[in-house]
Amino acid sequence: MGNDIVVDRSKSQLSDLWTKEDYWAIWLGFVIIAVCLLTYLNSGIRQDIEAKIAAANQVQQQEAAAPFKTIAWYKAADEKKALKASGSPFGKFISHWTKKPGKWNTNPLDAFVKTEEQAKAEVAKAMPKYEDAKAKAEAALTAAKAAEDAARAANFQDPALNDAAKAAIAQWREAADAAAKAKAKTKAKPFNIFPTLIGFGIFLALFFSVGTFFMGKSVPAFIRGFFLVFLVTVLAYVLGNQSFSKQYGIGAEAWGVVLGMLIANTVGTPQWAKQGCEVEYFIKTGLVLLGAEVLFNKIVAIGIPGIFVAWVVTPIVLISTFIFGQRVLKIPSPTLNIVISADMSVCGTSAAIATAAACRAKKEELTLSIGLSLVFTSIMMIVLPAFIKAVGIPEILGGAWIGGTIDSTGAVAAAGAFLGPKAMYVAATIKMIQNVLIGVTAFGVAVYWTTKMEVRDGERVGFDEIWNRFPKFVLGFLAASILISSISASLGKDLGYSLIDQGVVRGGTKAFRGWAFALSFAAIGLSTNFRELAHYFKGGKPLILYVCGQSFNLALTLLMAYIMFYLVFPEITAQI
Amino acid sequence: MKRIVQCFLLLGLILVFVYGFLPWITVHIPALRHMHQVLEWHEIDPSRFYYSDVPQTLEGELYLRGAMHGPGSAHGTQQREDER
Repeated sequence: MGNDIVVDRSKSQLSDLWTKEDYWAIWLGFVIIAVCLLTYLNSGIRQDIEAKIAAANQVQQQEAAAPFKTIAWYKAADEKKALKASGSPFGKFISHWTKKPGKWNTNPLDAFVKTEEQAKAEVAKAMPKYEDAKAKAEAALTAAKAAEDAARAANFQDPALNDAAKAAIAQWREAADAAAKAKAKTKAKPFNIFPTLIGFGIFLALFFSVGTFFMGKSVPAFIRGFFLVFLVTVLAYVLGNQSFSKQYGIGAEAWGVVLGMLIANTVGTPQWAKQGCEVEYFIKTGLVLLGAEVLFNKIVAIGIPGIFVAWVVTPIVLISTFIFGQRVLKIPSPTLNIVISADMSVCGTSAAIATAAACRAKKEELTLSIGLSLVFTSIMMIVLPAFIKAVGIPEILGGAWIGGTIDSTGAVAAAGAFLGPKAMYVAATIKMIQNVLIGVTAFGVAVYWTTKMEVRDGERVGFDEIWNRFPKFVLGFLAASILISSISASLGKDLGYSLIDQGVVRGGTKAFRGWAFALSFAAIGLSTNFRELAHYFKGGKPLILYVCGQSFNLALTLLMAYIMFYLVFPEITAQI
Repeated sequence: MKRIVQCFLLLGLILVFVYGFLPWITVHIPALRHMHQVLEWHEIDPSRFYYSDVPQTLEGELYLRGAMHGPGSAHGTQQREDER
């Protein structure tokens, strides 16, 4: 998203495949996706995972005769949950070399280095809580076993014994969950990420240089500039990983823009660094990688009610807000209008990035949209659960409402957690289903822009012209999504979870996508003029658009969630 | 020189707001303090924007899958009936 985004009206040529940025985003994204796919699907760990899944499924099948989930059923489910391809040597290699600066409280150096003594002190501090939680979990397990044995002895024919066993098992699950969380805190290990950060920085510079070279740009100039962008990105990660900064949703992406803009608008971005600020190149590559995380099988996670809340309300709000912005507010820039509408109605930053790239919005428009989203997300994350509690909205309904309305997924999980575990699960799952919508949104916006918005009055455009104008990286984004979704579905839900979700995605593409987006935000900041940004905010129309759109979203989501979870499908709500 | 001073001054202000003011209100307002404790315990990062960055989405997905499809659920009971 350079300063002067214009519609590319040149004819498509074969050479575009190796000279255009859109294609390079696809090639680079698919190289990473292909390496992850080939390695995880063919690794030796696969046979081991398959055998363990078969054994666990056998146990679950045997236990299916019971009228409730037995201890053995849950243990088998836990065993399947622990089967992650990211635990393979390749997964560990990727995780080691793509590590970002970590969490810290008072000393920023803690983001890079944890000494042996610090790790030991953390473990020692966490141990008493873990021991306590472990003892409680063991006691709860003993009680659950006794209750289950009693129900089993009655051949599961005594409803009172069944209910008692179910309650005791639920208590054990809660205690076991607390023990698992406490245990995770006892696993602190020493680290020093300086060497890997330097190595990864060099790798990324060379990786993106390949495309830069074929696009006919100066590789040395790109690499020089890239290192400043990388440095700002690393600093942004450090600042964004401070525990209080994170709590209010101010993460690495926001810090990247702030730090970059600070440099650009005070000392000025050095001339030699400007060729490294390849915002569009980084964003498009990140989006192709994000396509691998858009798994369509996720949309059935909470059944039809979830689909209605996430996939019916969202497009209605998106389109209504866009029309409201065009016809009522008369926002001068349609690209700013659609980016804010998508950001607010779909899923915040990720939707804003995808939509902005699909309609070729200016980088200031993306920055403004994300800034608005950040402020409102921080407010809604605190206010919405407090309101839900105050008026006594049930947990499931509250969770669905939060999931459908708060922009960023992390903030949704946080707001849900304030209400309770079930609200958190429902909220996070609804948001996840909504996240999947960004593929459709980006494609729809790209088609609408090339066929309607970029067409002069009375002009008719044929297929050739549409193809010439269409942002090709969107096809890479969709292809990645369809490919990974199909492979995941063909593997079945358990193997798909272990190899795709917990391998290719969480153990591969996610890390590179995270870096690509973080780099793009630092580059946006470094090339943004504050005055230009202020110009887009003139008259406060973007703010009015966001507030009106979000108000409509809040009303419609609550209504739909109530109808779906309490009137049409109350049996699903009862099961949750 | 003036620009460098300007840069550090602005950076200082931003850092004071984020690392001074925000922690201060978090500690002094009970609701925000509670929020901080909940987030720390669940290890939730509200700044993450996509589902794959947020472990709670996975927990939710697995929980709901178990609740809606395992034994005891309407789907599980139907399956058992069919098997019989």
